[in-house]
Amino acid sequence: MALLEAEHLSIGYRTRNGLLRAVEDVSFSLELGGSLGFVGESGCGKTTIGMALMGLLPANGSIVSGALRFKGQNLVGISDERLRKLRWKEIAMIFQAAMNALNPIQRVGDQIVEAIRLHEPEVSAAQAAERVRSLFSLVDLDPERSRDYPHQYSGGMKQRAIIAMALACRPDVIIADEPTTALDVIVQAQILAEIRRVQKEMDVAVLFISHDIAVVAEVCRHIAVMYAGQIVEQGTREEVFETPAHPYTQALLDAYLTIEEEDAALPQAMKGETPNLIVPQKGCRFYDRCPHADAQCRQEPPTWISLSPTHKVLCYGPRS
Amino acid sequence: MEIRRYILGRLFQITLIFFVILTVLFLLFRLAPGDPVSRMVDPNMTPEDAQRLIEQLGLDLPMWQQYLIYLKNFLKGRFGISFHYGQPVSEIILNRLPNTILLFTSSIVLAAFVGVFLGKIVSWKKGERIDTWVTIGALVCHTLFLPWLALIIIWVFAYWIGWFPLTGMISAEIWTDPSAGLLRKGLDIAHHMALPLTTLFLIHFGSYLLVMRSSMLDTLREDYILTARAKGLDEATIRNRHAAPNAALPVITSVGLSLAFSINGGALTETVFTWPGLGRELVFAVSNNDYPLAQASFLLIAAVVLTANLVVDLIYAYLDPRIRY
Amino acid sequence: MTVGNRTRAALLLLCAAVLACASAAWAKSRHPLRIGLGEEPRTLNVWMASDANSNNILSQIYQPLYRHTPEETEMVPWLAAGPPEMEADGVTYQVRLRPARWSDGSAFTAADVAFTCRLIKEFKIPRHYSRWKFVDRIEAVDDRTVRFVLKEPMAIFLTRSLTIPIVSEKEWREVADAAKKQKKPLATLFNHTVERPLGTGPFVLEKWHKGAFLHMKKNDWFFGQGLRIGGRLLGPFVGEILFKIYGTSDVAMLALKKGAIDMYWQGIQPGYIENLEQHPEIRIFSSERSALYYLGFNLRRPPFDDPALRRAAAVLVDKSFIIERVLQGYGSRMDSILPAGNEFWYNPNLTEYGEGLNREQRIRAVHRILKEAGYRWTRPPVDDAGKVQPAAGLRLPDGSLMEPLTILTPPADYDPHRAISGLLIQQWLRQAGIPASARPMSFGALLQQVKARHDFDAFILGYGRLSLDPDYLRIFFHSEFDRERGWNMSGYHNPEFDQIAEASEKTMDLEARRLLIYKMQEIIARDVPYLPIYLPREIEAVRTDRFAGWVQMLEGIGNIWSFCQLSPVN
Repeated sequence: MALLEAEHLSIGYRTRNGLLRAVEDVSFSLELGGSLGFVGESGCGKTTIGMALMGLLPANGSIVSGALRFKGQNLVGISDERLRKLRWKEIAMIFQAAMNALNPIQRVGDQIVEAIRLHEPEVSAAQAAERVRSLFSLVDLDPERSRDYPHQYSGGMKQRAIIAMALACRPDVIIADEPTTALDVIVQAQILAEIRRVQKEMDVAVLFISHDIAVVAEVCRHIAVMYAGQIVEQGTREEVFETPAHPYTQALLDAYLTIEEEDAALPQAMKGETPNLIVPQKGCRFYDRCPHADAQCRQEPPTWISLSPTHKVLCYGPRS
Repeated sequence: MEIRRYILGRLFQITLIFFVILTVLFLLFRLAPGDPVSRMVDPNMTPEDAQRLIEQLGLDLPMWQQYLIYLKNFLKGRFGISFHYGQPVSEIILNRLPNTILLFTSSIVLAAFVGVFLGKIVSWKKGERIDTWVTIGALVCHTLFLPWLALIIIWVFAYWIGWFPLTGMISAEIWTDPSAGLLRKGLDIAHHMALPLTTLFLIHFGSYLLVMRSSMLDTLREDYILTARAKGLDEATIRNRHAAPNAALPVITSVGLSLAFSINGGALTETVFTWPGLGRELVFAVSNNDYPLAQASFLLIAAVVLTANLVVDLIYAYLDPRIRY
Repeated sequence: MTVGNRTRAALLLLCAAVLACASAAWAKSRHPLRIGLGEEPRTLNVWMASDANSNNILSQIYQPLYRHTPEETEMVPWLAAGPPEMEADGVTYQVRLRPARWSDGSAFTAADVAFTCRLIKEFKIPRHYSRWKFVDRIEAVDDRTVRFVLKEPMAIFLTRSLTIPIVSEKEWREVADAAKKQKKPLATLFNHTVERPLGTGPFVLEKWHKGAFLHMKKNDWFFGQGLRIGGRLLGPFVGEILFKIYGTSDVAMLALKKGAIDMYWQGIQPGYIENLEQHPEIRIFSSERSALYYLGFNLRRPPFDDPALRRAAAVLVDKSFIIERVLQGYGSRMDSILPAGNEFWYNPNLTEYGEGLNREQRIRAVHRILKEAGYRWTRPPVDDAGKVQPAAGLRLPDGSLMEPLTILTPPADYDPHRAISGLLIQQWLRQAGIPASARPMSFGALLQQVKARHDFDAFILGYGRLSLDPDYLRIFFHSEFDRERGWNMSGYHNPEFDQIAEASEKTMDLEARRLLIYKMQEIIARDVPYLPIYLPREIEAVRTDRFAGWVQMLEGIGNIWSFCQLSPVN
């Protein structure tokens, strides 16, 4: 049984103009100790999936259909109270590095202790503090600095502290949403290494969300490429990287290579707007931007094509 | 060590500003039209009488000489004698100040506590009915015209229902009764304070509520609130331990300065409620060209506000670890 | 609200109710007279006191040798035992004193009177000194006889000098001696704090609770107790008085209606009358005042240096309109500087400018007056066909265009009547082409402008509480007082007037003096340096359910006669 499993999951936001389907018919699964990366542009729905897993969708957002199972238990329709107990204890989150994810007027250590003692009330304050110290050591932070305030940390240190916080209750899954964005390249590499190491050591499953396919590739064994609310290609790291089937995946990889060389913002092929998600177009959502689109792509939505037992793509004419 | 140097620096700065204010006040009052003598409309006051009074008040001297005398007296801690009461200014202020603090400062404290508390609560229920009504109520109270509200309250509760005394701070009947004990006198003051306190409270709590509410709504958009949620904290804990302390920071400045300014009372409130505070005295002193009294009152306010500024900054630094001096 | 809070609130309300009942019950048992004041007295130092409230309190304590009866016709001996006896030289007076005691029981003697008068002379106490500087010597002949020797005969000696409040030598001797040694003796005397003034009046101050109330008790040593003076049997019949302060007349009226005070010692606006009259236990007194509200002109510069223009302005000002509309009928028109109520001195045969004329007739009359005086218009107020029209382009007799001029008034929050009158007069003057505009100005600034700087065209001011003796006519218009801070604010210079005024000051014969005062009023009415406008009435309200015996006189019911005569009902 998969640890975490989504089946035909659709998530929508109520807006003034109608229901915005941010995530449409998405299915994936994550094994115990496994790692799955979501890649896509901003607005493609990858963060929405993370928030849905945490039960932290904003007030106007909700799961429209489908199932989301954690250890076999459907998280859709579960009571707030049970969901609250589940959070952090079972599913923790590493927030975007650019966020002020730490409360500026509380000591960093105290914020971690708060999480520990909330879910494990039997732990004494001293024990919790001791655990914080060992967590700090684990993520390569000086345990003495647990009494510091967030503003006294550098960006990388903050992110390490957040990783420590995510590990505080020994969760089974950690959702990492853009954990390295806005960090400089060296720190980024260190943090990624940290996440990899921690995953291995603690045997925790990681759901990694990033717009940067290279970053995802560093951490995850499996990759799901998202576009306009849908997963368009799914496979192992090697499959997606070496034989990208969807034109969008190919464009992403091209862009990655271009950035490596020229530091350009967006590849030429990626011109055009992301589609309207309130009234989705009839055919393929990538139609407008696809260099290979034909009449069929415009008329009918594409269906899944399996390229291998682990590799599949949502496209009429996948090319390799 | 750092903090001590900072405080010393600020104190030096405050002293400097204080002396600038002192000088400006001196000039301001003397350049304002009128003088304390010409207001006395009495045919028995001959021009010689007027001139004699001017000399006795020391106003016949050249301005720079008056200023030096004023400065010298100030440094000796002498604030002079009120032209109109013939009483040392310090005595008048000391007589009025406790009354002002009793009413105005306590109403600000009360309004701030309730305003902040309610603001915290309703921000959490943004868009719900309670939020709408409380916010509208606060806005209405905030914009009410004070003398009008005061008269309505007096009319309803003191005159019509008759639960409270009309105005004043103490009841002459009770305080001249030799059998009245301390408790009865204390209760009498509380009894008199109820209506002005309510009025001031109603006028002021709205602004704190609105400030706190909007500050809370800003804070709720902060990422660490999301973190707190993700950690599985319940709503009350998120609100009270994570959102409110952060949201309250900007409110502290506002409350601190209001508290400082509250010592100047309010001329309108004091007039309508016949509350013997500093505010009416101040207006009276200014309009009657009672320079010593006006100067000393304003200097007191300046000193309190300047000090309060420093204290607020220090409290802020204590509460917000991001700020260090 | 939790149950606990609710209980607490209920308890608080209970406390409030108990307190309210307790104070009401106490008031009944002790029966004090409770009087509302508009403001707290500023000082109890009788030499310093210049505000109405201080004087109201002090008038219960410090007493004069003579005072006016409520009927105003005569002065009666008060602390004096009989009328002053003038010796043959015409400048020496002897006054016998009643056997009286200070409120501490010690004897009141001639030495106290002599001390008081010398104190005024030595310290040149403002507002008193001018009434005593012509007195050469003051001697205590014996314990009960004082002799005054004047430098020359002076009419105001009886009416103005002998009415000053007498203080006790015991209370003031040391203070005065110490003050004399100071660099600023007068200021030192003024700044002496008086906690419990020692007087001879019907009441003594028990306690002044600053900022809240004053408590007076009956003076058991009051010399008048049981005596019949001015045809009245004097008490006091009231054991205690509580003076309470009310910051606004709105609340004071509520206090009166609720029974928290028996009288409000301050004139009220006519607007309150209708509501108060609905309460059967409240009685309104409307009394004559001794006051003057007037439009003053600056005679030192054009255009009001021309009497013709001033007369024209006098015709344009519709006094009856102001009284009807602004004072709501509670007042009367003035044509003399003296109020008509001052019957003995008031000259009833003066020009009544514009009386009985309607607006159009006034404009025609003014057109005539100004045309004769040599004024010209580009567009006259009356056209060739004899129709009244809006005037423009008024030129002075010398051919120059009249500059815009301002009428200074106190601001509306200080006195709405004067401020509105200013606006009305502005409109009326404009109808004849006089480019006037009213400008409200803070009271202090206004007086400085008019009295000290003499920089103005016209102003509206008033004098309240003018003495019955008309000597102020001299002070307002004698050229001697056209000085910085002098009361001749118009800058009126007329040798004929000066001569008569000087004579009036020294004429002891009442009838002869009256003729001079009549003549002075005539001259002023002719030359119009001041245009008297209105005399408002003093409106006061009292409760009738607890005390009775208010004595109405000039300036209202708040007088010493009332306080000596009031007695509890039942």
